[in-house]
Amino acid sequence: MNIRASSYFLMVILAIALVTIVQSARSPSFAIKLVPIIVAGVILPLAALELAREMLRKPEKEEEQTIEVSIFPRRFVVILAWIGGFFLSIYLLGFLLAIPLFMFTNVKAHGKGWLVATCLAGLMAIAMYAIFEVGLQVVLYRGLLLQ
Amino acid sequence: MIEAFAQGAIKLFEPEVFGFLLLGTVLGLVIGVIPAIGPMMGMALALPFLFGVKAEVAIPFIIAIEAVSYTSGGTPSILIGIPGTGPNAATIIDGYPMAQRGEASRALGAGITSSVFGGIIAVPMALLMVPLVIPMVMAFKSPEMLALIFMGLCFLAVLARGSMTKGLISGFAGLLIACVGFQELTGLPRFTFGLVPLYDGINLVALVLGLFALAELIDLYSGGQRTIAQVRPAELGGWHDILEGARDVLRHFWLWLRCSVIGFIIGVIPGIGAETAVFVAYGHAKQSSKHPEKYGTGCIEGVIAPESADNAKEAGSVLTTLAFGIPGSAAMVFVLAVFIMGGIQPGQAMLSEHLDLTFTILLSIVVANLIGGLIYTPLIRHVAKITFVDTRYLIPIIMVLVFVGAYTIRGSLFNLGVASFFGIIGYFMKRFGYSRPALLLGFVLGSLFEQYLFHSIAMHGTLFFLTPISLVLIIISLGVLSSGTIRRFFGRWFQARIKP
Repeated sequence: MNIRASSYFLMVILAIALVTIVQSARSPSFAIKLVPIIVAGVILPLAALELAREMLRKPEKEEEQTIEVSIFPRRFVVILAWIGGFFLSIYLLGFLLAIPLFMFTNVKAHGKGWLVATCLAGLMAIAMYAIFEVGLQVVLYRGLLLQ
Repeated sequence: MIEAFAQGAIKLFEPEVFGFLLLGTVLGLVIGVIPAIGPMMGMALALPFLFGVKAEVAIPFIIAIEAVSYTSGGTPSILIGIPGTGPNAATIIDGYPMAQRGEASRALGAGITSSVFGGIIAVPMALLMVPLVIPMVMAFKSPEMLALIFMGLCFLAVLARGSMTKGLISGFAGLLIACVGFQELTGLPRFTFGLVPLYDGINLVALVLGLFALAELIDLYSGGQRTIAQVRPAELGGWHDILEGARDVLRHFWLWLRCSVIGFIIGVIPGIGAETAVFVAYGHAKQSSKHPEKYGTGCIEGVIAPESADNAKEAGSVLTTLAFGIPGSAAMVFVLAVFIMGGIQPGQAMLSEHLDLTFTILLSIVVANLIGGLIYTPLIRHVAKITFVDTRYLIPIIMVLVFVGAYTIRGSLFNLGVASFFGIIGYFMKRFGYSRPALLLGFVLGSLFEQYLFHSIAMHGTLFFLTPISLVLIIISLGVLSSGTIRRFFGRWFQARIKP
């Protein structure tokens, strides 16, 4: 039996389908529960079938006989950290400060020079302000610390 | 109908509509050339900017992006052997070898000409079909629409990358995600977990940005590529070679026409992707050729066939999307999303009270292709350099656009979380072979699915699927789902009989 990274993804789908069916069945309203039960009821056997197929499939190479360790490759974790950091900076500082900060640190961290990073950061901040606040009349979030 | 056609044509040339069409054309050309950004990511990034824009302005803009991106998408296919968009993959087979032996400009000239005019010739075919489609659409009631939604999901699942089961799981997962929020019939919340922002459901734009834009960024970054193109592009020749390529399309006029018709017909069938159209056209060109052995070595017909089909399918896909409210292709899901954002329901209304808008949309394909061809041809040499854009610039820029775009829809930071969440989901879906277009289709059609289901049960009881048209559509869907199994079974049966 082989457990691949994709098998864990299927297990999550199975769990969600099962919870959906159980939760929906408890609802008193027929109209509320009909579609989720039908849809999750289709997903459940499909996901179970696919999971069984994956786990019973013979590995193509001998290395695959062990559990795959690269569910979360290193670079995936790094980009998640950048996304999380950008989100947090937007929440605290607002878009107009978070955008240049993010652009500058990201470009600089990936090996570009100070001048390029600074110019890009400034250009993006100005462009976003011009397009959204001036052009589309959308007030961008100012940040928790600066409101 | 003639009056509606005239009104539609006039509307297309109103300053606001034409301006957006022009902008969409330019964006589409740029998007098509960069392999990392497909038309789907481009349309996903454009969606936030369309919030509040009238549907008759927004839809030609989106159509223009999609229509011309396949024209410019042939450029990296020919020059560097990497498709600018998925459907341009077939162009690599003969386009890249042509470029390697110094005929890059000729291949580009042929590709652009066949793509532009393939897109244009399909529009009259769609216009001729409108009077035939109207009575068909009027005959479709709730049970038939429900069966059509099911058929669309099945087609998309079968032709999705990865297994059919995964495609179906994706489609039905989209239907499930659409259940979040207030249930329309009862007004009661469902799967909101007490979170007030979820009462209105998952925001479509945030989901699209996460699934298609952010997921691609995560994948691009995780893959560690510095530039999209890592091989030296073939050297480009001069104008004479580009015009020679255009003349090649005239020399192979009947091939170009047949492949355009193939592209259009496949585009009409809901759920079938552009990738199918181009490979069917390529296969037909090879089979009907007097010298099939030349295909794959760099013959001009191998460029003309797929390029004409990949743009011709647009008019067919648009017609299906407008007439039935079922996307004719994965990219048409975005067009459907723009309709919903603009408060217009595709379907019967588009062939009756909004018939002029239908003609505006179909004619926008013609105009976008013409303008795209005129702009792009002189700029090929310069635009080709964009394929070398450094991902270290591209990734943060697109991430900023995604986050700002997700925020502007409702002025809510919650949507940033939604976009991020679906970005991660989309990354894993791509990595493990699940179909993101199928999930989006299920999501977009989710509330309609529920409406039609309740109407059908109310009108026909629990055996609503036994109406003649519904039954036919369900049988076709089940046939498509089991086509792989049937083919394998008969293949083994024939082999057993052939063997001595």
